[in-house]
Amino acid sequence: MATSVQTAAEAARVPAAMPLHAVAPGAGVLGEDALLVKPIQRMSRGFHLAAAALTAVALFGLFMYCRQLWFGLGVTGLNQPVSWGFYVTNFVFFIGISHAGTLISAILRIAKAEWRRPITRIAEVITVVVLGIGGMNILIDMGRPDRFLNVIKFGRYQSPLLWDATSITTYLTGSVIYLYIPLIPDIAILRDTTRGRLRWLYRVLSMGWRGTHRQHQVLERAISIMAVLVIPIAVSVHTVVSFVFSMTLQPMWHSTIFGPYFVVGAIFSGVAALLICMAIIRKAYGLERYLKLVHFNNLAILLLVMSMLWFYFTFAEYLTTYYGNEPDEMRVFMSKFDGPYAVFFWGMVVCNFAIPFPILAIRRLRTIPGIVVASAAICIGMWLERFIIVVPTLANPRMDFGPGFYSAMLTEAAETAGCFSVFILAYMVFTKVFPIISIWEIQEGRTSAIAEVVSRVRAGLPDAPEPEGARP
Amino acid sequence: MSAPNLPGEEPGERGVRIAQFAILGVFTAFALSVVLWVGHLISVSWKLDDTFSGSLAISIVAVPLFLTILTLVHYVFWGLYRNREEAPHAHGGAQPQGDGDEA
Repeated sequence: MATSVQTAAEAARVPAAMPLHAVAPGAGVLGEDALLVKPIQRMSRGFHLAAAALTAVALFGLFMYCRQLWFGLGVTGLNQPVSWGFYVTNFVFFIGISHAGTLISAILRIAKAEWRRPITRIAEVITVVVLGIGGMNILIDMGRPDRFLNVIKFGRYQSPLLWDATSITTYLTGSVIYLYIPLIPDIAILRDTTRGRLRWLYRVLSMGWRGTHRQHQVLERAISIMAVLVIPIAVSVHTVVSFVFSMTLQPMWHSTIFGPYFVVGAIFSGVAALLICMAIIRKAYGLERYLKLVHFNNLAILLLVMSMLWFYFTFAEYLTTYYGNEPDEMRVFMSKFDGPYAVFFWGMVVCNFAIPFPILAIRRLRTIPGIVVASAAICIGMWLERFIIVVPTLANPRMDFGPGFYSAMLTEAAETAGCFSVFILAYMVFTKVFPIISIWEIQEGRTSAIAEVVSRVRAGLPDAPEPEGARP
Repeated sequence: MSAPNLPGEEPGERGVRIAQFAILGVFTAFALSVVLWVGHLISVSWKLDDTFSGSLAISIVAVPLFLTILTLVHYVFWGLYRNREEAPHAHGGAQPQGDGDEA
């Protein structure tokens, strides 16, 4: 444990050139968890280089968006009848990724899965960041963002698009609160252990947290309520996203299983994104002691289950279409199977099933690098899946528009790259301002969770008496 | 809006507390404006006789959710604000086992 146990004295040896923060007296409260605030205290050269590169890509994306705003959507590959392309694909993809966080974190909290402690915040931050980016893609796709005001003034709840706007706003609000509330004790730790420019922010955001018994009660009650609240909201969000497609009569969109199919895909891609983030954070910040193989392994098994579920839903969806042999549906079907979109379709199958399934199913291959490869393949595959859902149907509509085709231009490619850059950059910045692993929950795990788990296990054994107050 | 400093509190605490109340105010305004917006859409659908029942159905879900989140935020804010005078335990860490009377 020599490398991992960092005392306040060690933490205080941070070179003077670095910080936004210096370590204040009282840092000893962190004990062996001082490692968790190290990313906040140190700004490495690698961080600056990565931030500069990502900012450059994001700025290029912004430039291309301004160009699109100036010249209109004609600079993109969008056309009639394919009026949705990369932007709506990105929207569905990012909203899907958002399920990583709040949903996974909330379920693990409610299930009292003790291994959740180091990963919940990593997941929750993903949710908040990608929800913002997903929503932004709709504004980009609108071409004239000022028309969004019409949605506010004259929105009609007859349209599933407005259901989407409402549910995403609710989910984003809930997710921000669900991220913030468990962050309060850690912000208080930063308030008391750091000095520097951000200390005032910590003083404000810690909301007067002093760790009193009553404050703990308030916090834990609020976390429990939010965890219960956020699960149906998260499920509803992606169901509603699927309704945008399935409420139309377009071929291969008008499907009753689209809701659960989208939710499964969302959890699938969300867990994959979470695993990639965990691996990067572990490596970049030297948090091997916190993000262990057991965490990767548990999530990888969940990923394996989701991969099989995704395959099952995809198979059911495509087989039903094929067997029905309805001409409009078959035109879309064939364009995916051996038409212009075949490379995307088969790429999706390879990335979502052929690559991850063996890696995750064979224990010898289920190492951290193996899991990261599988997760990266899944993220690519799920983006392709969203693309395959959105574009081929619009290119082969039921109405007699004639077949269309969509080929993305530099504008969409740059803005897509910009979105990914903003996501990574925002995530990196978060890790430099707040602890990315919950310090207080780790400390709580050490001191009280083990006894709690033991008593929980004992309570279920046949010889143990019923808990006090329990009624048969 | 801000209460006097507690014993041992740092200078500038008044500004900190004003900022905290401002955050609460902004969030409250945001949540209420969403509720008002949904109400506005319902009234528009009523006036135009445009799927009023659908608008009502969605608002029955959305409005209580926002009000619940708003209530929860106020519960946390006031809960932390009013209970900061107790003797503290360790920071965020584990609470001492027991009934809590030790505080």
